[in-house]
Amino acid sequence: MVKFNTICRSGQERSTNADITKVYRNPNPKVHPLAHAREYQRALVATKVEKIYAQPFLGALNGHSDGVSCIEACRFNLSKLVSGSYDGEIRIWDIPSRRTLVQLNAHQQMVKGVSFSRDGMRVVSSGEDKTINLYDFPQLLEQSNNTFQEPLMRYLSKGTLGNVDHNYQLSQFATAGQVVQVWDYERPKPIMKFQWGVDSVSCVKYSPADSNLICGTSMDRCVILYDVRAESAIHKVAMLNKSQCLAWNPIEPLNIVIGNDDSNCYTYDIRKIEQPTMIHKDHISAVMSVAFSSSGREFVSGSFDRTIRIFPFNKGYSREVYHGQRMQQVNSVSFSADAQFVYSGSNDMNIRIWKVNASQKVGTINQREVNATNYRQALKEKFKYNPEIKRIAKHRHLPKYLMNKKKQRQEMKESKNRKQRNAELNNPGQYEAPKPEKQQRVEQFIQ
Amino acid sequence: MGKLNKEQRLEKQLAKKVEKQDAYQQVKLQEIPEDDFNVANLIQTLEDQGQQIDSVKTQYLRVHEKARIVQEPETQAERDLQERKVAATVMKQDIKKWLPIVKKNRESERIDFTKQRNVQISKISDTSNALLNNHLGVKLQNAMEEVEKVEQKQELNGQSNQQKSNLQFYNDLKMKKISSIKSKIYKQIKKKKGNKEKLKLMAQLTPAERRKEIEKLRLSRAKERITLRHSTKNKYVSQLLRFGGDKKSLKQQQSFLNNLKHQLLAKAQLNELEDGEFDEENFREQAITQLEQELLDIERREKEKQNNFGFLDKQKKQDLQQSKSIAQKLLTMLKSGNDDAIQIDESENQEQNSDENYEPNENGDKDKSKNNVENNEFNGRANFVNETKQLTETQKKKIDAKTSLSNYLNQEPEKQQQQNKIEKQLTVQEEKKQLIEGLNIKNIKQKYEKQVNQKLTNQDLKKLQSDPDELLQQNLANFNLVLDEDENENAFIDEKIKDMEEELPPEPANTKGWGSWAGFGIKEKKPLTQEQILQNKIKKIREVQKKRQDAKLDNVIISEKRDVKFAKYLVPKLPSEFANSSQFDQLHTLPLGPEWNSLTSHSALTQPQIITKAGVVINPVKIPQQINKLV
Repeated sequence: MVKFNTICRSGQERSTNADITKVYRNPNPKVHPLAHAREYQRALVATKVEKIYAQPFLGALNGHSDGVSCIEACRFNLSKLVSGSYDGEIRIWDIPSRRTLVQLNAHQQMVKGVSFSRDGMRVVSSGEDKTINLYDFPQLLEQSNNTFQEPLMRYLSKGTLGNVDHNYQLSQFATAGQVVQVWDYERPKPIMKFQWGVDSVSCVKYSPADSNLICGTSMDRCVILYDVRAESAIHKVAMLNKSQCLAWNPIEPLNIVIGNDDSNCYTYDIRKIEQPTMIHKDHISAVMSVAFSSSGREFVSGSFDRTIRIFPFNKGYSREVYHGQRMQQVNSVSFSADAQFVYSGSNDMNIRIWKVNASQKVGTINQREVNATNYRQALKEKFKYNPEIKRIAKHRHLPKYLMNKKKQRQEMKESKNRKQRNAELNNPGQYEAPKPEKQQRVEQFIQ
Repeated sequence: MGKLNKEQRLEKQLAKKVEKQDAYQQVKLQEIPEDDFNVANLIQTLEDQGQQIDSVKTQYLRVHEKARIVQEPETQAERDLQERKVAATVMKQDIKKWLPIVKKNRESERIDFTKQRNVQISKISDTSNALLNNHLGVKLQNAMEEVEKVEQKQELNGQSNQQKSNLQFYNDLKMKKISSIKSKIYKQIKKKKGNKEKLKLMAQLTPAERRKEIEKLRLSRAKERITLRHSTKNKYVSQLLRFGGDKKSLKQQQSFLNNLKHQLLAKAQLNELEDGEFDEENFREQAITQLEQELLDIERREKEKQNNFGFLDKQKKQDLQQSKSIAQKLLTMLKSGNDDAIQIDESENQEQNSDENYEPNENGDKDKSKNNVENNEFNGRANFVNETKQLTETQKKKIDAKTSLSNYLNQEPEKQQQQNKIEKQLTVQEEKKQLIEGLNIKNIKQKYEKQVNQKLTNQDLKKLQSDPDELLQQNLANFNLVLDEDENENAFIDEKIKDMEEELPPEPANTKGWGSWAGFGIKEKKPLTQEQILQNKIKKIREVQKKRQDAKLDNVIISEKRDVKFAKYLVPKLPSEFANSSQFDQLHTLPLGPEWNSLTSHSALTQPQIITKAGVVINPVKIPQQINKLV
């Protein structure tokens, strides 16, 4: 015999855990005298927790047999990335699986630039051997085993070439070099040539919003703006040092960021290019590459000082710095199209994947978790001026060579200021007020 | 020869350059001198020889006239400069289209890059489910839907009518224009005439002026070259330019609303015409029958089987009870014939139906909250308020003692005289020690004490004690209490003054001879008297007192020293983003947490400024089609 114990309940008014019970709360601030203190404590904990969980490095893509000279993430497909190296090899990567999909011996010499078309169907590459290759992307993936695939089209340039950038709307692309050239898919010769000034142009970029505008940085320290419709450039501005790279803000197509050899980045408004609107400082060596986030609110810069920094678009100093023990000079950086990841190609033959927000969780996130992180973020924002929280949030561990150089720079700056001040004090009336730094960095505006 | 300075060398170079430029300009300005061997000379010589060359001569003259106006070819540099100038102006104009978008993005509180538009038609059922439980609510919704359908139909009819009238109007306009249009040949002739006139004018101009005119022409051509390539101006765009993109829709909306209004008015008028007069009794009877039916319905639903879920049943019961009570109230009102009462009841119902979350309404809920305070919920606070209003017993005693004593003393005229005398003496003293006395309450209190002590000499005390009045006796006993309390207050004031004295800068030690001239025949300064030193000190203390936060607060000492332990919770310097401290303080007025906010407002407060999502591609900014076509 088996014995059953049963409980019988009758009556409708039984209360269970599933019952919805009202919770009355008084919003009167006088009833909550410790609200501020509690929120402060939460903010403090949130900043500390963020520090603890900060793990920005996700992984590396290794396979190149020489330093990586240029990379670009696909603007259409989030999982694809194309990279070129110093030995003329081009590789196409699948980021989630971190393996090479296609390996191409594309150029005789170094690959200068690679670029995807907006729809992700075409890839263009330019090399130091004065050739430009146009590939069909789906076809490349189909014949992934063939390392000597012939391109869809091969264009020959008369002069040396710099980087290449694909137009965002049209079937055109522009190349830098001795002459800035605009090419069409259908024509063997460039449809437009711009030559203004003596030296060659190192980098050109199309405006993502306007298919007519091109901006370039030249070896004679100039930043030049071109309109494809006109037969000549629009205007240029000469700076004190030469710039290596530039990027357009995709959400505010008036603004460009330039990475300069004096270790700073400069934001220019192309309407008033006479002087920069902002100087972004923090690197200690030449900036080799910049790339804008597709949200237009921050940009990433890779430098010769072996670090990557993420700057807010409207702040003078960086929000984040990434470095690795084995990472060498960073040649190229790129943002993923969903503004979540940063890719960097460096001289150590590796491409690295970083998170944009170091402590962000990767993968599916519960809505409750999202809400909690939002609350923590809001608290940090609220208490960001507090000295204790500011100190913890600002702190970054840096390698010794960086710290020393930073300190040295600070001392140099202070001594220079001191010298200037003393000279002014001892010789009253002989010195004019010094120019603002933004003006000092610009040598000449040429129309 | 000494070496020239840098500046001198520069000057020389500059002077040379300027000379060169001047010479070049002069050469440019001078017209080319006529050569001896000329076509004109040749023709003349031929004519002189007697040869017939009339046709050649006329041809030559025509060419000569035209040649005067032929443009000098521009250099590549000049051409490039013009191109650049034009390109810059065109680019700047082109870029203007981004400005409103950039401004909007920068000013908006948050940008959501993951957002997709899902427009849903709002219904009554979306806003309140409670209404649907009600029989009347369902009916109402059905009626509203019908009305909407009718309105849409009417709107369509109205639109087609409007379109017809518009078309006619534009047709008329077109006909008018066509009647004024001239033929193609006429236009060609006119163009030729104009060109000839222009040429004539150009021939009259001086070479410098001519050059300027030509430059203008070239600029306009360069502009044409750039702009003509890519701009389209079809009929749609021209109409948009004329009427505006968004304004049109606004106008349409307005006209639609106006139409609605007119329709409703017309309906109302029709109803009035049909019914003649509004039958109040009939309407009431109908309403009563409907309500009674509904009550029966509710009873029936109450008897129905209940669900297994307790909370669902509860809610259902509540809803039914609500609707029942409303119906009953309405019934009673209709039967009694009070129309005003209905409105009041409705407002009550609204309050009941409103959301359960706390939403403070300034008008309606104030009384409610007051009631709450008075009734049950906040007994503690209510008591506290009462306490503050009711004086403590000791305070009462003090007041009674003071008043009764003064009354008693005032009754006797002789003592009044004495008092006057004392007051006079005191006023004299006041004049003498004005500085010291005005400083604090301490002195005033002392004065008061003296006054009382003087009055209550032994004789007086005996008199008072022998007085049969019981109240007075009691007050005398309490009088000691007053004095004790005052001692405490004095101690407090002393402390405050001490605090102020500590703030004074330290005085240098006054040793004789130091800090003054010495020698024969120099008059010796008299050292300051004790009183003078005191007065100086008081002056300084007063200055300090004015600056203090607690200057006007007698019973408070506010310490303005910086607490080192607490400093880490405070922001040492006003951040540059804020204009003043009050602006900065507003950051901290509102807590963000879910404990102090409703869930909706909590989530709204903590939303990040830029919302992105892994896997969602963000495209570069695009101009809305309407604006793009306009540009």
